[in-house]
Amino acid sequence: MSRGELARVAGATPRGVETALAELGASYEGTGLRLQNAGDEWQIVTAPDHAPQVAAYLGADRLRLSPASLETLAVVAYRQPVTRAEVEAIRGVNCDQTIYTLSSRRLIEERGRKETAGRPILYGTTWEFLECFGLGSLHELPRALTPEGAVLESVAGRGAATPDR
Amino acid sequence: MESQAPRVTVEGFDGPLDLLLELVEEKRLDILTVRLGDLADAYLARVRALEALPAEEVSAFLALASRLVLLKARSLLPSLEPLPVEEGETEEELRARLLEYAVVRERADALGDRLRAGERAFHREGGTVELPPRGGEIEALASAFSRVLALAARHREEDIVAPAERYSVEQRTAEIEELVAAQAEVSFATLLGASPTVGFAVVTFIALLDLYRRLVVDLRQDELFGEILITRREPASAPS
Repeated sequence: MSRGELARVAGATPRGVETALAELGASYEGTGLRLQNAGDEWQIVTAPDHAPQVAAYLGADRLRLSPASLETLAVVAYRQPVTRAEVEAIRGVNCDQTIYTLSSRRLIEERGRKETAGRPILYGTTWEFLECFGLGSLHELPRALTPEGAVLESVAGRGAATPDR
Repeated sequence: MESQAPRVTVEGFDGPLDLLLELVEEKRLDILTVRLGDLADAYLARVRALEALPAEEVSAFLALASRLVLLKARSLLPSLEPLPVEEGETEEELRARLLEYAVVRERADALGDRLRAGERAFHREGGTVELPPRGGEIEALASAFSRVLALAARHREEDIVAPAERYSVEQRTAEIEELVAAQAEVSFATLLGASPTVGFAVVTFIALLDLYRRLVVDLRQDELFGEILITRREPASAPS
């Protein structure tokens, strides 16, 4: 449900809705539910801690992804929106297949087109992605890296910002 | 498992960068300072084992191999190899790519851990409950039912009386058309009259549908169980 819809139904201002959502989210802490949010959309979902029980009840299969798919997914998740060519440049391999796999599993989706030559498709993660990884929103994507990783990222980031000329 | 993805890997390597990174880690080298050209031999040794791969996959590995060999050659013969900028990726650019890839792989591992931990969320299936249309008042239902009962009672009378009336749809159509032309708006109940026989009601209904199909009249029902109103269409939109 979008914030606008909530405001219309409740007869409240978007700001009021935001406050109420924050309160609701806080009140769910320690319970079996939580709020999940992507962009302007909000939904009540089950808390990830109870996933084994809920999965058993629903008879849900655990999602499995190959290392290649996970890498592509990681690039899309942390760099979105991103084109296939950009993913391939980072991974150094053709990513047709993994992008197809991730799309057909509704973990990534098209997010319009990049206004460059050829207008390539941009990809971003989906609502299902948040659900499958138990993330309340994209802000909850794991940011922490190993100490080595953190060094690598800072150096990699610098390299990207000031290309060697 | 990922059945629909025929994934090509080289002894478990997902690509040239993956293989290169693996070599750096195996040899416990510092990715920030290692001279990448020094890895050319080890890299080539691994790539030689790849003959079974499709050409397009191997080409990606070979492209990186040639880059590494070039870097190695330059470091061995610095005087003979001035560095024209256009000549492609420098060691630092390749290192930047490798670093970026190393971060991505770490992110991917973290996501994979989350997946294996199975701590996911579920939403409620089924979406929004479908609500019936508004206006389904209990009184409306009751009065509709009493009308049905009245009709049912009349059916029996008809069965007994068995009137020999004959209605023609053409005739009824003409009548309705005339009526609508005169009054602009007529209700369906008016057309049926106070106590229509089944035959009369059916013919009236078919005539009305025919008029609607021919775009002569418009039909409107403002609320559930409400009156059906028949209005004349603007002559402009009506075919001759």
